Amino acid sequence: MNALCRRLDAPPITLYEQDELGALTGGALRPGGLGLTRELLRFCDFAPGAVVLDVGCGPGHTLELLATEFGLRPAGLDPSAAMLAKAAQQAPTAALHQGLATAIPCRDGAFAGIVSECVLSLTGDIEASLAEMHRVLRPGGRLILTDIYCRQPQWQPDLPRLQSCLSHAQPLEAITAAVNRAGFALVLLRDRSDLLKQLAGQIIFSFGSLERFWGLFLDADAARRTSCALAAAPLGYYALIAAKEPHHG
Amino acid sequence: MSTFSFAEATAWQCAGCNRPLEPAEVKVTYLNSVFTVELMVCPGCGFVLVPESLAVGKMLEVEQLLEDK
Repeated sequence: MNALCRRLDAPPITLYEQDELGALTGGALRPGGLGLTRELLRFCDFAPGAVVLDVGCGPGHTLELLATEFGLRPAGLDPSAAMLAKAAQQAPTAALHQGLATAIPCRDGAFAGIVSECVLSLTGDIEASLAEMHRVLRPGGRLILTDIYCRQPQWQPDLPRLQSCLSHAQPLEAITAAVNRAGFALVLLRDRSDLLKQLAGQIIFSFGSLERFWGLFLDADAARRTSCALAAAPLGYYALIAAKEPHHG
Repeated sequence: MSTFSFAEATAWQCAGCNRPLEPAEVKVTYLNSVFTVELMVCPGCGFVLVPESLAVGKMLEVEQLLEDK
């Protein structure tokens, strides 16, 4: 689950269900692709066979990685039936759940780890989502988060007909504070804005310009305005690992 | 998936191999980032032709993107 486009006069266009973005990132639909996921999973060093939930699993590339490269038992959560159908093909051994990050349909303490990549800002309620992740994580479990953040607290993007992670970005300080309030202890925090720039650059090389890329999903005027707004956007990308403290149940 | 390519028919040939260039995807390292770009390449030795439109056009656009944020 990554970015949602919504036109006022048409059915919602779900950007993360489009093939164009996934093709640029090896199917993973986010800055850094699976390379960043590997780095963070290696750091966590989950025991073989541990059950790890991907919140916003999309087409299931991380689920496949969890099973085939790390010997873990993957579970996936996504609100999109279309994405879950792809995930079922990509990672046949994964347990899949349709639902929202704000109401995870799993029991307390069910998972040794949670991965949620480029999703949190889209959930609509960061506090509720983190509380749910905390609930379904077992004591001592690890949470891996990557997402967009905003360098300027007051930034209000002019993104016509576009609802996406780009327009819901929050300051990094607010995100880490929410992680702590949910009962997690921060273990690792890295600024990976280089990966966001890399993806934007790859879009230019692959589609000719950012405006042409947005033109795949938006009308010409909206694509131009979106490109202009994002050209000056004070956005970054973070990766963090947090632990559920053992005394929390 | 790409809808844009810098690979176009060219009169240039690889002098070392004396072979015509062919379109291929190549990895370009630029300002500490790696990009995949479709360019004309010698199928023999891998020599890559970087056209002026890439060097002074898209490279500049990407450079500004990488440096400004």
